[in-house]
Amino acid sequence: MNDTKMTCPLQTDNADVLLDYCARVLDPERKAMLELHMAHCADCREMAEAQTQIWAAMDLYDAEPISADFDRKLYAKIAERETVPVWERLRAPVREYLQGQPAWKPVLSIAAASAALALVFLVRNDVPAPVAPSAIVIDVREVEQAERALEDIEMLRQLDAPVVTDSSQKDVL
Amino acid sequence: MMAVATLERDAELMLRVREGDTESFTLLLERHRSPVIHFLYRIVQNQSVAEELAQEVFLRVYRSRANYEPTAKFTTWLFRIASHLALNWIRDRRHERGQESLDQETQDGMVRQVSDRGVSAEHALVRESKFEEIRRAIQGLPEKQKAAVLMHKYEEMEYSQIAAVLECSESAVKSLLFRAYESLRARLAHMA
Repeated sequence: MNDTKMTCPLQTDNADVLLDYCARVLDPERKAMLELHMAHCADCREMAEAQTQIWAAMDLYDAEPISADFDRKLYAKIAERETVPVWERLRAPVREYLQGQPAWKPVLSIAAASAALALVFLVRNDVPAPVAPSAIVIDVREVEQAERALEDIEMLRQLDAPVVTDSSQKDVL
Repeated sequence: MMAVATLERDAELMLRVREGDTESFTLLLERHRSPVIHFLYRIVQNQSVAEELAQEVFLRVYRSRANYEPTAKFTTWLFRIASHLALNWIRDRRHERGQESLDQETQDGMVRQVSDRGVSAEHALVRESKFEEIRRAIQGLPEKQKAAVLMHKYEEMEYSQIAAVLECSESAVKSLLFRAYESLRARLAHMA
């Protein structure tokens, strides 16, 4: 309490004391201690002077006047949002949450893509399924018909063929 | 003492909003409209964008009324929403426009009027020139340092509250502020 000595704020990572001093929010006791310290510390004195000037100069950075219809626009947005369909309102917080969670975005995309692929497979399996067996049936029938035709041709050829005698065989030879 | 009273008042109003009292929302809006818009303006450097973002801030506050619990200071919550929106807007803008500076934004979007408060034109020009230098110096700071400085200097927030808004430790805020003011002192040394 009665210790009026202060270790140098710049050498002890306590520069916030100097910032508070320049912002005029330092309590009277610490202010007095700091001023006592600055009387002997050129670094702190220099920093405080520069900071005070910057602090004052920053007052020039004033803001713009607010539009007269700010509240009207806000209430219009609120009214609009309050009449949004329930499903949209339920979707919005999820979307907002996901927007704040960048790590989940790729996972969500992959999940969505997987779901879409699964759906495509399901649909494709449903539709061509009845077609495939009938295609096979047609192929089998075609083969059977072809075989039967060949057998018929062979049989006809045998019926039409001339009777071979020993003499004719001799002629051919 | 003042901080506690403010917390109680804002939280009390928000709890009334939760109960369906829209008048209390109007009171909250009146109390915090200007600080939020001014904070956003100094970050995004465009008044119409600042107002758009501020509307989104208050819209989110209103929409969150049903789940509101006074676990933190109301202004901490309010400025956390505002900071997130503003920093996201800046990041999105950067992605859209590359590294195009916000200086261009100001030139495109609006030409700041030199307010004539009974001073001569020459004085006003000097003032405007200084304003421009300070604006550029602040805009040149990294995002978190900028937000910390704006809350510290213009909203007079305590370190603990800035830490809560930026979701970092109090010592990290002190470090951010020290580095930010160090940069500003270096950049604006000629003005001293």
